[in-house]
Amino acid sequence: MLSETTVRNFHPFTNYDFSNFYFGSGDDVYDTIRSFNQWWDEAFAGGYHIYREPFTSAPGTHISIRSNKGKQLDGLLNYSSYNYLGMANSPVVTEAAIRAVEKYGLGASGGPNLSGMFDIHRELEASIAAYKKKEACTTFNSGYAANIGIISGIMRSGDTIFLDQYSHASIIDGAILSKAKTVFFRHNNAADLDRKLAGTTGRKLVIVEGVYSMDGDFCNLPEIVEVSKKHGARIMIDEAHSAFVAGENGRGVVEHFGLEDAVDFHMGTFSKALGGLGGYACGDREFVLYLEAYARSRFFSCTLPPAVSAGVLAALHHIEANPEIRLQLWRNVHYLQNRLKEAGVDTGQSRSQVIPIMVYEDAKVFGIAESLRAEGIFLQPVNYPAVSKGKARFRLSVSASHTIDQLEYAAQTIANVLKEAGIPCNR
Amino acid sequence: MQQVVQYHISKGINGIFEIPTEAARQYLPAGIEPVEANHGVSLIGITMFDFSESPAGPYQELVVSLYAVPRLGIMEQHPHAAVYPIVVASSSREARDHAIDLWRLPHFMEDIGIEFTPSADGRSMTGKVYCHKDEPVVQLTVSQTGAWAPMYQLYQSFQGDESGSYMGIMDMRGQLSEHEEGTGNIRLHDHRFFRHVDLSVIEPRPYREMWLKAGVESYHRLVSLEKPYKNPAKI
Repeated sequence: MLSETTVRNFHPFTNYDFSNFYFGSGDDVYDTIRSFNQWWDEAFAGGYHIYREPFTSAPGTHISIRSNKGKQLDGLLNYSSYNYLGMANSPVVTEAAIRAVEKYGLGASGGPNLSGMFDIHRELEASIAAYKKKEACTTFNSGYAANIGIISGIMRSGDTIFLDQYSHASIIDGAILSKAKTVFFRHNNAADLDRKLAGTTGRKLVIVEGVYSMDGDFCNLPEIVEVSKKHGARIMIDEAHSAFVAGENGRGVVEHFGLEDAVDFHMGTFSKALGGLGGYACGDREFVLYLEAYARSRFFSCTLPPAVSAGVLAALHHIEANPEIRLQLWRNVHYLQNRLKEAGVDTGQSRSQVIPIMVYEDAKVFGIAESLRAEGIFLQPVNYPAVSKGKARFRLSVSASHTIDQLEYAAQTIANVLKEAGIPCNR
Repeated sequence: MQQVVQYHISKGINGIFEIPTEAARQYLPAGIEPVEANHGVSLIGITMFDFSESPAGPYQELVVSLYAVPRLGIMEQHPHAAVYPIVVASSSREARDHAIDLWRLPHFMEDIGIEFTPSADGRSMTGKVYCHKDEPVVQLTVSQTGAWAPMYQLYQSFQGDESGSYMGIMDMRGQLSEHEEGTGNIRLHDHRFFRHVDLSVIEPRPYREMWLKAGVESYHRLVSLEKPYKNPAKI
């Protein structure tokens, strides 16, 4: 037992985070579970209560939520949803989904290789392949399932997978499932990748993301491709946050850099720019055919609900027919990035609609979130271990649906609240 | 009940570096698991202390340790982290004897000294470790970003000798700067202090840097563990 003085001086909430309760050995699994719960009781009251609050409206520019403190909060300006092109609540999309529910029912009631494949799925896959200018496409019921399915579907024990250190959890979990050796390289650092690829024999896969989800920066794709090719490694890109958004025609970061054919395996999601749910893999026919046979997260899982597929398909057709939506998003991104920078707000290395509002100090981020909410802005904080220690931030998402007035209000309010909290500008 | 033993820290710097988990496992006895910062990536810490006051008088200490999975169900409070010291070096024989007798820590049996030098702007601290005053062992620089914050963290430490296997329970408090900017650096010399450590697998850029000032390390007790193990790096 520790002394009473020690226990009195102990501050569980501020001294711990999620990383502390992941590992723990002993005789009972519940030792870890109970420790976490003891901490959570204090953490929840101390600030974590702002997570997991249910929306009571569509994830549009204005939202209603039921707070964990029991209050109904209406009319908050939403800068946290991935609804980049406003498709999640677009009438074009929701009406297509309603019609599909009436035709197909709620769920697919089966996996894709037996009874769960519908004509709407095949239409969606063909449309995505055509949009991405690839030979073939296959779909998954989430972006997470797509990444673990693709990676564990094509890589095996004895192979080596090279991952950017900021890779999404689904990429890391896919690598773990594959049983291949995993090597991390420094974020966007082609020289470090080069050093780590050198001397590696056997089958090699380099995986990057088009836009990194916590920093909003673009992948350094030209140099990554050059180094990967030099060492005979295949390349996969996760364009969850960049497909349908980046590039002249929205074909992603690969189009932005003119490297669509240099990348072997393309992954993306339907839950961000297209406002639905699901993920896809596209590339050549051989790759997709192999994946449909060996991607276990697809094979052994119920297919996407047909209504979601119909909504996503409608969203795709809508943004193809209306490229000005994407252009409006980029106008909004540039406006808000510029206004935040003029106000001295640190937005890191972001070049996209994902804009980190850097706070750095983990202890201050929850209080600032509360202050922003009091000013009518819904912006969720991200701290360790989701990002590096001492790099707490807000992860702001811009939508094409935001108006200039809404963006201006956000820039001014964020700058003022940070200033009041003593967060130094332009570190 | 064992008395709490306190060590007052005037300066403490710690660089945590990535090493492959397969390499980390080679140092660890059965029953002790490495903590992974990421899949296949474990952590090794190089720590330098300047103790201004202790039962062994003022002294300096260099510790090389792996981060290990803590044991639960023994302590009332959840530990912040656990370490497995691979090798420790001290600046005096008294300090060495004290740590071996009381805490069973694996020691390098020669004297070392640490020269702490702050940068001109005070934003970084370099520790240079010498053996017998003229043999360079290791040089570590950590930087400070953001604000100094009060810290109070509970640790476990796994160690053992011929008498058995033990878990030390300690806490650290003080003013802490901690970050993962990767701005620090390390230079590891080919010195006999490291003869049981494969320096080639240690990533040169720090995963995390910690800088402690005005600190106190309180060593609460040593718990005897049931399963004996042997420190493979015992010197």
